[in-house]
Amino acid sequence: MATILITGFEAGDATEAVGSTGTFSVQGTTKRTGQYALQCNPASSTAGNLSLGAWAATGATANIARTLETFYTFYVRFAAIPSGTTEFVVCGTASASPVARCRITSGGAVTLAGATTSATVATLVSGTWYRFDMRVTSNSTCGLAIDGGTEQTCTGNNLNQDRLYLGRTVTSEAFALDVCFDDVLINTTGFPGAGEVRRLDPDGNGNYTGWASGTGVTFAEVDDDVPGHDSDTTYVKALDTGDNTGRTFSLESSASASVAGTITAVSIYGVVRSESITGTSVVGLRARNGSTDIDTSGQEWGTVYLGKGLILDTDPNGGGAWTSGGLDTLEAGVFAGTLAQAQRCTKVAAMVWCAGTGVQDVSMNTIASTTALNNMTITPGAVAVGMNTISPATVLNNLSVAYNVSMDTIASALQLHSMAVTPGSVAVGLNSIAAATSVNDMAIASVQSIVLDVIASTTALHELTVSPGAVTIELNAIAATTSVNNLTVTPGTVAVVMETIASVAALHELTITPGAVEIALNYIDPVTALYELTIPLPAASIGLETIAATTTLYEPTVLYVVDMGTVDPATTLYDFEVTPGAVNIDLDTILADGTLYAFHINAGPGVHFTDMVVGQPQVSILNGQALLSWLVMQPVLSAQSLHPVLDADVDQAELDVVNEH
Amino acid sequence: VPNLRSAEVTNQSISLVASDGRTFSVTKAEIQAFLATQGGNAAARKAATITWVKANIQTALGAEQCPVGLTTFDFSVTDNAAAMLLEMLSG
Repeated sequence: MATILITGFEAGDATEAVGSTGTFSVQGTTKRTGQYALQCNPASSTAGNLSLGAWAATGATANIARTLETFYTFYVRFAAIPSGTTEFVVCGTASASPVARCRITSGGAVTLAGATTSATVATLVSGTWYRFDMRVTSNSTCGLAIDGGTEQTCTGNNLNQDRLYLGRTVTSEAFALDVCFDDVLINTTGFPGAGEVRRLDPDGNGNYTGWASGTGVTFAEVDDDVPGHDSDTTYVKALDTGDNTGRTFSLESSASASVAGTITAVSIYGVVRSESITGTSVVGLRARNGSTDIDTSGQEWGTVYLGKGLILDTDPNGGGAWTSGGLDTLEAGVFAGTLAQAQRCTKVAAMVWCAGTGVQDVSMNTIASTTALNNMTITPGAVAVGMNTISPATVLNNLSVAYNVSMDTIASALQLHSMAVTPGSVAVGLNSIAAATSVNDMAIASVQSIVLDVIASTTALHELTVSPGAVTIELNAIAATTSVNNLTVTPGTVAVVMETIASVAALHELTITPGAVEIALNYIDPVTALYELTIPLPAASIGLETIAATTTLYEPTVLYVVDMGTVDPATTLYDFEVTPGAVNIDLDTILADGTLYAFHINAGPGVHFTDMVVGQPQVSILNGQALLSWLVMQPVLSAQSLHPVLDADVDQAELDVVNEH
Repeated sequence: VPNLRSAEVTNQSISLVASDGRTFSVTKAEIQAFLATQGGNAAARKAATITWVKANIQTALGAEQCPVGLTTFDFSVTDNAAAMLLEMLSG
């Protein structure tokens, strides 16, 4: 497939187009996939269009300049069916004389018209995206099929196919038009089928590190999305002499860009200009994969920022068809063959045409307060749900999602009810949950990751249940007075990480059931209360590090590895019971005045005591500590070895039990 | 198209948003007012007005964004009706 152009208008502006007339906008409100789409909504008797062409070998926009059969695939959505017959797509010359054009009647009937007019191809309704497969041959047969339906044909005019005009080119039609376009692919060999355009943004420096004289030396200079580019605010820059190294950037992964299905072609995109008009430089775009570079031939661009493109039908690394793995190692950037003046590049990206899943994106940004989202169900596939900046008092009920959910900056007083995430490679990110947020009944199935960062005080997490699979739960920076109730983690390779739990946080009924479970509770502040921490079966590990003074651990029952480093004075451990198994207890540096109540160790011969082997030189239990009701059920320790540490505070009855062994 | 995010062209006004967010707008009344201040014959006054609009676009949006050379502007004012045409090219 010889691709001429790929665009989903993901540049965020019109820099991928050859020209425009009248009213148009690249906007992010009505789109099929990605972040942006084109809207052309000229008023009655006015024109409004964006014209697309080709990427020339130099990298510049150019006319298509073909008369042979050419294949145009694009998606169309009418906000309203026009009140009279009007054109909305034209394939024609640089002056907009049509070889063939799509027209729609007030009844929604679409025809293709050139020297002759086709039968009705399909009847459209407003508010629906349709895939148009239009093949055009100058002075010969042209055809149009909609959503894979029957193709209807006409004869095209004997003119050049220079541009694809999306929107209306004429002022003679006295009807308003409001139509959106997305996901366009033009090529010379055939239709790609259903697909979508995804943009891969820079995420790091690549192999070539020249052009280091701009506003910075990282990818942040060229990852603009304002939308569009930021002009001279940030850019990489080549000096006017000796800076011919070029500059490439690694790109975000295909997965993060929601690339799915067969990848038809890739387009490297950049926005470049010269700083002055003195002399002639040769500057172009560069794609690199593996050790192979592919460059445009380049040219002198002038002092205006303009979009440049480089089509890659195959992976430069080996020349085969694109794969997601091939995309993941692709670099995009710029090079300078000849430099007569300094050059600036303000934006770099890669545009990918992939088959996708047919499931469109859902993006809900800045959801205002008192909004209610009820019964939102997203079925499996490459679905990305973004809910950013959800205001207070918003209610999300029965949110069922099968893929990727990101909820950033959830304001206080929010309620998330009954959020069920079904199995699959699901990541749930709930970041910056403000105070007084309630997360109720959140159930997460296997092979998922849950990250709850920066949970503010007075947040309540009720009945957080994670079922089997490689599940990771991170509760970081839990603020004071947070309540985590009924956190239950069932079998599987489950890891629970709770870091920096502030004072007076309360964790109630934290239960970890059998499996390869690891719990890390780090930096537990004073007066934190851990109630009924139960780890019942082998292969569990608990790390309680740096337990501050006056922390209270109630009734923790553990079967495997207990690591308590630096237990501060006045810490109280109640009813600490360790039952049989390969147990390793490590209580490092328990400071004076620490009190251990009812410390029961029922382990067998495999028990190891690290830094707490009573009576050994490495004992770190300092004077003044009270070890109450110290019970050892197996002959691991002898009474003699206990004597140097135990003092009059030790319950004699308990000691007698020890001595029986 | 050089660095435009959107254009709205009606018979009453033109509004442009550049890729970096800078904006430009001009109304029919402003165009008529400028036209009235120009000397010479009708063609000369119209040419001066077109030059003025294109220069204002460049000033508002930046020469590195939407220069005069890539902008085509035309208009007609007849019997209180107006028709404005704005075309942009990629260079």
